[in-house]
This record gives sequence, structure tokens and C-alpha cells, in this order.
Amino acid sequence: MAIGISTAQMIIAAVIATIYVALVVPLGFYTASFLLMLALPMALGFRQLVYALIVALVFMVLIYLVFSVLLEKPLPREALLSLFAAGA
Amino acid sequence: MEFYTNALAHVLSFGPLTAMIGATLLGVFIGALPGLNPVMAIALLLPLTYSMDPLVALAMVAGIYNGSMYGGAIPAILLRIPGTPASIATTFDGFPMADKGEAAKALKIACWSSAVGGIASAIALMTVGPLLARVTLFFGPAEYFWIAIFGMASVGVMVGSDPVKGIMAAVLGLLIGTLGIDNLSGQARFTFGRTWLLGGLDLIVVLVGLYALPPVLQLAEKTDLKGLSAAQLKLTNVPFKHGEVRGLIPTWIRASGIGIGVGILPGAGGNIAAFLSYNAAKNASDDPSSFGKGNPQGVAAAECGNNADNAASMIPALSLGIPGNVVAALVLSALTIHGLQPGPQLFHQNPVLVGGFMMEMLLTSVLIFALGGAVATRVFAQFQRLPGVLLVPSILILMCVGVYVINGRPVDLWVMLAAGLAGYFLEKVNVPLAPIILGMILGPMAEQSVRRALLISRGDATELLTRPISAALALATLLVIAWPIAKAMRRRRGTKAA
Repeated sequence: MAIGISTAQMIIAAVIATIYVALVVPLGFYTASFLLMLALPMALGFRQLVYALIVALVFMVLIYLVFSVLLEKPLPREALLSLFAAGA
Repeated sequence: MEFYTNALAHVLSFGPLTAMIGATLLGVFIGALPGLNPVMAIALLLPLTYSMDPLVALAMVAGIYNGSMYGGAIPAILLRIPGTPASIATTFDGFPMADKGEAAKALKIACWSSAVGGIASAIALMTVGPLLARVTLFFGPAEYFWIAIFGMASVGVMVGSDPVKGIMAAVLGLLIGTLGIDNLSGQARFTFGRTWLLGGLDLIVVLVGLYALPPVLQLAEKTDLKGLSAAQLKLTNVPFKHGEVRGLIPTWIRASGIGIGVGILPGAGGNIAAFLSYNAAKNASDDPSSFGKGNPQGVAAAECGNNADNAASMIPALSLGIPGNVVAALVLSALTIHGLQPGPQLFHQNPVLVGGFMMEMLLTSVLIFALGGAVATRVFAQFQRLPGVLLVPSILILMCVGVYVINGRPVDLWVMLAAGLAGYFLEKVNVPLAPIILGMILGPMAEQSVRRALLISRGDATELLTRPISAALALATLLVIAWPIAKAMRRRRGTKAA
């Protein structure tokens, strides 16, 4: 059965969104989101890694400023941070 | 009058004022990006406003709503891509104008027309709203039951292409609305032994999924890897010629009237208001054939019509508690989050809040004049250069933050994802999503009212129909449902004869 490109793209996006939802709590919000910002455009065929990296960084900083600094909302904890804490 | 001057004093303080300016700018931006829509933006924003002052929260809703209706005109004119469904009619004459090199002028007309439509609509809301709220003083539980049913039926019938699918969607919303603990008996319904389902599904969680995920998946389908080039986005400011504005006034008056009328009716939205206004302008013109070839009147009619729909759609929501569209439903849920019940008591108990929200709808429309100028529009047009594939993960992240901060429960993320995927497929088969949301809101209201009415009448169901207002509302509901059926039957008979 032939699947059109747009359907394939939709399925890729839906699958990655599901994986993101599954990983956002165990990995931590910022880690999972940063990975998503890079992985999803790449999976959809975007090839300018530097561009995606810059947009991801700017966006994550904005999210951090709004949600963690300004509104002080608790988001899923970063697994990486507790890893460093355990190592020290 | 005191009602509004009091409210105005509160609205003109630091918080609401900055919220209005920021949200109107954000709204223009959201409207200008095809794939993002105001409902999605407001749904994503609402969870963040839980801890805020209600007037600030409502200022943001007003700004995004009004701003995005204008913002949709920017890509509609420059690229013939409507930024929101309501700006489809704007492409008819807006893009031909841009083609002739008059893009900046078309944008300026769109900006002024949006502001005029929004202002007219807000004035209608401020005058009709309080009057209509008084009618509800005569309402008992039976009337509230029928008005909830009427709201669901009319939105279900009018919003989509197929009334049967619309009603199906409303019933699905009703079903979702019954999940969780029943308020009157304390019985758990459809929870399958899961404790997280005891409270039912959170409206905002479902709404974020339903309204934000399908556009995200559609953006992914398009795989826009490049964005637009700078050459497509050149604009130069042009002042209006003498008498040009005066020529638009009759169109503005007509389109405002149509937009306000469409707004008050439940079900029909900004896109219908824009189409009707456009057609009315065309019919009234001396030279109908110039429409579709870059007639400024066409742009003015469409943009004025879709903005005039906005504040007017809040009239039934604020006064009767019946949302006519999803944005109005969001405003109602924003009110209930802050413990406020829509209806006449709202006008008496919280005049500052209701009056303030109405003032905010008015002021954000005025702000479009200032913020929608050529300079701002040029900045917004630049955002069109962002490749669509980068927007996809950004929106997904915003959805997750928004949903997570409501209750801090990971399970809500799965509910959102499931709702979103369901919404995507429902839209594919032309099932409208708005009735689902309205069913979720109005279902519990209908249920509680009917049970209270039956308690009062000691279980006598005829009581639901014997009071004059409730009988009239029941009849109106019947007509709303019977009308499309009759139309379909006549059409079928017509094809048989031929």
C-alpha cells in the first residue's frame, strides 16, 4: 500500500509526539523538550542543524524565563540534574 | 454608565493594560502565522492565568481574540494564505490588491476595518449584554435546561457541513461531560476504577488536545522547510487619499451590523460573518464585477465583518451562560476557574469584572489601530520566514507545559494526546470539534438543571414544558433541529423528481 508523503510526515510527527509525552516526566521537561526541538524537524526532513539548534536554544530560554522565573510553575524535574547531584 | 466608568478605572491599571497590549501583539502574531489559531492560543494561555487576577486573564483573552482576527489578514493579503479561517474572504480582494502593488494599502484598510468592526461589536456587547442578562431573572431550572439544550443543538447543527455529524459531536461532548463523580448522588460514573477519572476530564486539557494537536499535525503534513523569502514581504507605507476613508464608511456600517448579528447567534463564526459581509458589499456596489480583482471595499467588508463577530459572540455567553463559539466557551471556563457563575448574578455581584472584560474587548479593538500599522505589520510578516517544521515542536512543547501546569499530573498529558489524535481524525471525516467542547460545558449544566427542575416538580416531567419561556425554548430547539432535516428531505425529493 502506498502512503503519501504528507501522511507519512503526519505519522512521524504523531509518533514522535507520543514518545515525547512518554519521556517528558522521566527525562525532565527541559531535556525532553530540547531533544524534541532538534529531533522532530530532523525527522521531518529539515537539514539545517545549526538553525534548529539556535531556534531551540532561544525557545527554551524563553520558556524558562516565562514558566520557571516569571510564573514559578513546577515542571517535570530534570533527570540529568539529579544525576550530577548524585555524582557529587 | 457608572457600571462602565468604575470598570474602566480598574482596566486602566498596570496589569490589565500591559496584558492587553502584549496580548494584542501576540494575537496579531498568532493570526499571521497560518497553522496557529486564536482558540489554540487562548487554550494554551488559560492554564497560566489560573493564579492571575481575573481581569488580567480576560485582558489576554480579549487581546488575542481581537488581534488574531486582524493578524489573519496579513498572510491573506500578502500570500493568499488565510492566517485564520475567518480571513478566507479577505484573500478575494486582498491578494489581487497586493498583486497590483497595493499590499501596504490593503493591509492598512484591513487594519482600520478590523478596528472599526471590533469597536462596533464591543459597543453592542456593552449595550445588549446587560439588558439580556435581565431576562434571565425569569429563568428557573427548566429554562436553564432548555437553554443549554438549545445551545448545543444550534451549535451542532450550524457549525459544520453536516448537521448529523455536528449533533454526533455534541453528544460525544455530553458523554465526556458525564465522566467522574456525579454531583447530586456522589456516584462515580464511567471511571473504570481509576482514581484520576473521579474528577472527570479537565475541559482545558481536552481542549488543548482537540484544538492544538490537529493543526500541529497538519503543519507537519505540509513540511514547510524553507519559510518565505524576503522579496515576497516588501511593504511601503502609503497614506490614505482624501475621501478614501469616507468611501469605506457605508461598508463598515453594513459589515459591522452583519458581524454583530452573526456573533449573537450560536454556532456561526467569524468566517461566516466575513463571507456574508463580503457578499453584502458586493451586492450593494455599483460595480460588482470589480470585486475579486482588488476592490478595497472587499477587504474592508471581510475584515470588518470578522472582527464585528468577536465581542458580539460574548453576548449570550456573559448574559445567559450559553457560549456561542469555542472562544466564548473559553471565556466562560476562565470565569468558572475563578469561581464565577455566568448569568444575571454575575452582572450584579461582579460588575467590575464583567464591565471590565467588555471594556477590554473595546480597548483591544482600539489598540489594533495603533499596533497594526505598517511598521508592526512588516515585523509580523517577517515571522512568516520561520520554517513551519520548527513551529511543530514549539507548539507541542507549549501544549505540554500548559496541560502539565493545570494539575501537575502526567496522566493529563496522555489525555491531551488522545484527545488531539481523536480530534485530528474527527476533522478528517468532517466532524466539527466545537460541539464536543460545548457538550462538555453545557452537558453538566443541562443535567443539573433538569434534575433540580424535577426535584421541584416532584418528578413531574411535564413541568419542563408548561412554563411559557421553557415551552418557547423547547420549540426553538425543535425548529433548529428540524430545519436542516426538512431542507435535506426537500433536496432529496428534488433530485428524485429530476
